[in-house]
Amino acid sequence: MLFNSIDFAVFLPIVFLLYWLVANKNLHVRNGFLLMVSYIFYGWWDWRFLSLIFFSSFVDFFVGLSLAKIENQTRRKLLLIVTLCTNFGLLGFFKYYNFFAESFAEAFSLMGQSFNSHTLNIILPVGISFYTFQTMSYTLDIYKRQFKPTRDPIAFFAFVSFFPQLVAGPIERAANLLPQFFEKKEFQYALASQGLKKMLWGLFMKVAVADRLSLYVEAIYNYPDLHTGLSFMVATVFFAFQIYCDFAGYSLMAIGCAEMFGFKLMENFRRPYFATSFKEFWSRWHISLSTWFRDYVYIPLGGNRGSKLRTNANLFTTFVVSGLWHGANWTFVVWGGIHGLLQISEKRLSRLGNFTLPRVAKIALIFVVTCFTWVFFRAATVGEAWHIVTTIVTASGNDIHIGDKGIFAFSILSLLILFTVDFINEYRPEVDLMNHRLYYVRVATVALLVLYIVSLGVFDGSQFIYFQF
Amino acid sequence: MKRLLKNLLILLTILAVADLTLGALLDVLRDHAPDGRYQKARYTLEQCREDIVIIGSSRGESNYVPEIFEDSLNAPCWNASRGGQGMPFFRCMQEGILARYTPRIVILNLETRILQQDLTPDYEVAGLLRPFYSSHAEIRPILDRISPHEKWLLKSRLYSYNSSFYYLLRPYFFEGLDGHLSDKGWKPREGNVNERLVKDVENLTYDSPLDPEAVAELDLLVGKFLDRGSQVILVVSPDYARKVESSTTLTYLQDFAKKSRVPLFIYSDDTAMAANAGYFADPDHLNETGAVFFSKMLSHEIRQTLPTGILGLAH
Repeated sequence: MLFNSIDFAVFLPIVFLLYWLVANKNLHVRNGFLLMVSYIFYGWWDWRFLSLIFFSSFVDFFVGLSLAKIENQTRRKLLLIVTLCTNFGLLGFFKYYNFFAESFAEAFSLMGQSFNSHTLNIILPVGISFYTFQTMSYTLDIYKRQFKPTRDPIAFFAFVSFFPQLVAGPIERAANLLPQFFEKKEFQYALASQGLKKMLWGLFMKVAVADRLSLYVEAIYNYPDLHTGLSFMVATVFFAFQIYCDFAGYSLMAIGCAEMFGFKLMENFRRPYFATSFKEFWSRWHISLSTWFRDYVYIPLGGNRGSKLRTNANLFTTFVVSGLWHGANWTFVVWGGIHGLLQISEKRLSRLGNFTLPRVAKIALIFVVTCFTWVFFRAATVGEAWHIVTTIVTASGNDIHIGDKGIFAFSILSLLILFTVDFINEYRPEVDLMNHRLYYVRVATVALLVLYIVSLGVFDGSQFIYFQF
Repeated sequence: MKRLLKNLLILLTILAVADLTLGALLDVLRDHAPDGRYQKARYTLEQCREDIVIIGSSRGESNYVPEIFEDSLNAPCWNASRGGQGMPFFRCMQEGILARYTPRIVILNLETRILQQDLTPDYEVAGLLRPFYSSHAEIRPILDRISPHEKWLLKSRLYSYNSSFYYLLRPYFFEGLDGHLSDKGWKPREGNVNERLVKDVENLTYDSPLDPEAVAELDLLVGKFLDRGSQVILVVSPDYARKVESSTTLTYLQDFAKKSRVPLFIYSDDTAMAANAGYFADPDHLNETGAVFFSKMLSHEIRQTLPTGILGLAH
């Protein structure tokens, strides 16, 4: 079920009322209810893949209990390997099997050998990368003795499949989310109201900005041989905001939806295009994933505890793996690698001296370079990405493809609104109209936003980009 | 909880009032548009009474000059085509027209692969007609197929104008960008094929399978006009530097035309036209000169083909 679908618009109020009026009277009933509706939410897409979530939850629940009991380090390691193999095995098979099989065959053909790769017609289960990482963090934290496992299977299964964040995050840590399933919850108007407002702004980001921009981006990126450097430049800037609004919009809807049920999820995006360095960009972009990779990949690799060379290698590896997490394609690996190199270069530059650029110039510089990396993220192949970069850099052709003027004009309008609101939230939060002290201002703002979405949102039921990751 | 529900109720009331008010305002803008795509669609659905009606997509809109057909066939002509559209739009135009009168001749411009393509994107672009959904019951079953929830979304008056504002307001500021009223639905294109694209004629074959839904819609489109007594004429326009030697669509059209006793004129294999860059504004569309030439040629052929009873033509 998609957040921007009519199905969800019917599902949410029913579940919300049943939750607060019926299920919330007893903790176990409430968690059981959340588990049931979460499975309905996921099964709406394809019920067969519920077995994967169930299996993953089952393994981690019992491995977690065993890890807490067992003192023998070898046996604990063995258990950890079991859960790593199970989770990464499922992820690897469904997401990466074809990629590795094809890459293997290509590598052989480069060496002049022929190798027949057997690719499979595999459907990628929605959100598998998200819930796998969430259950993995639970087990890893128990293994590191940083978290005690729960003995309540219903609460644990509900934690893994909690519908607001099941398919595209934020990737929650057990330490933050799991205890909330054991808290008694009282309905709070302020929290529910804030949740609804967040959902509304998230919906705006998705249907009025991301989906609107995607119409232009697709028209350009799907025909890389036909367009000029200027068109690619505009399409790339549009894509930068498309992917931001698609994912941040979904995350915000997830956070808002959870708040309606009395749960607090972690912030996942904090206006990333106002970052003044790449380090800051990654502390604002997909925060739940960045911190996951920091805690479970970068630090276990040694973090910054070794030599400079080792630290750089750790950083680079983390970003390459992070790139691969985003998709089974070399474009994502290159995208991750470039970000890794940018972080390393930034560190080196900061050691060389104190460069003082005005804040606006820093923001612009980071944005431009980030846009360059998005070309690799969006293009179908690395070769195609390179062709687009070359076309932009050499300023090939001087005309710009506008396409449908209506679509282009509304894209610009939606970007202006987005920029204004992000600017206010970043620098003048007291002016936030949706949370203004005057009731009439708040109501008018919400009503105008709904009217804008109805008038200029794109309602083609498009998938969220990050669902594929 | 009560407070939340009360505030939601207030908000819903405000939204319902705003939806109705803004919808009514947009209806006025739609109905008074001096020209443009909404004026044209409204004219086809509500006002046109011409004996000859041309239906098609952008090729239909640019390649057929109504005045030439009027002079040649001696009957009023209206070009109801719209750029970017496909079978669902054609069907809507048909339903709107047949709800009021029966044209004597209907010229359908078809593409060489029109029956080989999935109709889903065509339904989406037919969303152009959403502003007419509430006032035209005859087109509702077609527009309902845009998406499973379209019927419910279109309860909102504002939603029926979703994304339409640019083209709805533009005619109030710029005249004739979608064709002048005096051109009777024709949208002439200026200029010639870009020099970069000038090349020799390429022979093409499109042998992908037919789309059953597209075929069914064509059968319905032609069948309904024939049942009402209209003379249907099927035309496949020429392309620049592309000679379509065969396509599954063309094969089907040839059989269909024979079976239904409908004249079919195929120009997509006309090498002389395909080689003449001076006739084309771009590889897909004729320019003004090309459109005039093509319309004269086609109307002459139609005149030769049609039985004398139709429009009282005399050979």
